Amino acid sequence: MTALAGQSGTVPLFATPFTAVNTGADSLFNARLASLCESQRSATGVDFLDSADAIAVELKRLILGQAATVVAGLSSIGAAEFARLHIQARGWCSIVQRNGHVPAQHFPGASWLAVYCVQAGESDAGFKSAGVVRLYERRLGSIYRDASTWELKSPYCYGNHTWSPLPGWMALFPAHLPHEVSVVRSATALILVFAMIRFMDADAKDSRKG
Amino acid sequence: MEITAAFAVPICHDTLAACDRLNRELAQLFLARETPEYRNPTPSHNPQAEMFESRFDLFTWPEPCIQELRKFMLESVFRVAMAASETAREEFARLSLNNHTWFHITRHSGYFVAHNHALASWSAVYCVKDGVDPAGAPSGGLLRLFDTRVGADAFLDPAIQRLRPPFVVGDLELLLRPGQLVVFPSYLFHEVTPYYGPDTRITVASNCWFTAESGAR
Repeated sequence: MTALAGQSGTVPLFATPFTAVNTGADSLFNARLASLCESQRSATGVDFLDSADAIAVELKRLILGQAATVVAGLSSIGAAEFARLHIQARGWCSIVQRNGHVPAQHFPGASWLAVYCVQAGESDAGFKSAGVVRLYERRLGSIYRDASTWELKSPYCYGNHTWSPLPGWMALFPAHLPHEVSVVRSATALILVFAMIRFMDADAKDSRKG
Repeated sequence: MEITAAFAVPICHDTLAACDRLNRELAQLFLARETPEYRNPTPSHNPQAEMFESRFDLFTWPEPCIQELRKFMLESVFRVAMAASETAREEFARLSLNNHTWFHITRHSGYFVAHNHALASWSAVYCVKDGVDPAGAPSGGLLRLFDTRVGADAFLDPAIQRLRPPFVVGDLELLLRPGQLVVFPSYLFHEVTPYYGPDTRITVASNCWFTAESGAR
């Protein structure tokens, strides 16, 4: 790609897409979802999005619908062609109690990771950045800074990116990005549903060509 | 045919022998100075009640235990830096080693977020007290060094799912024990995972940089 050929200007090269969207899900929906998550506390190896429970089916529709809309907007292939892609997803829920966290993770074999917030409480007074999804800065060029680059403004600044989950909201970002859920400092457990997502060619069932 | 490990990251592990007395003195001193006077006044990350970070001038303290640790840590850094460099030893020996050094005291559920250290070349972490559960329960408080090859394992087929060292892609997790020192390049992103032990975890960290003439930056 040649950016700004023949034009003056500044563009964010090598940008990473991160989306936060309000799905519109209401508190009743999230309460039922929270109950379902609690009921699956001891389940292992179960695809949360594969559940026959009506609330899980609705969540899957919600997550994949939002993801497809966002990703279609990021792709240069036409809307008609994008609509023919086949979506594959696998999901699980995390219930994070006070002082608990989700350690650094990333996911091979998927292009996108959706994080849906089912439940989040107010952090105790005095705690900043508690119970956030933190995406790690990994650009090694940050090792040299001078007075001009120490405090670059967004989207050029160096540093981790945090997203504070709110019930009914969903974040979407590339699945290979290392991230964590920081230590929760709230009496209310943080409940998140994660979904690994990939889009496959409808005919080949595989995006690899050649 | 030859396979080589390109793009390697030098990481040095060292241990201070017979460190019990020194670590006791250090722990006692640090706990006594876990006060606002000695707290880092300009932390780079959100401070937490569960982790105390001192000012960065630790190695200027005159106490014998501090100077003993300073000798061990900085000599190790110097040796690592020299061993990893193609600069001739006699030329390298003329460089001045500068440092910012501080201590951390971590209590239950304290942690330190992922970061690296701008304007430094080598970083070192020394463990004064690991705070692990004597009964052997997992206590967290791991020093996690992140693989620099972000995304390299986004696609995995059966041939590369089980690459052997040094080719395997993944983070390095270290449970430091008392007297243990690890030295690594400052560009390497790292974190301390939440500590869930029953006591306190105490470490000393140093960021180092070399200059061709004497005098700190």
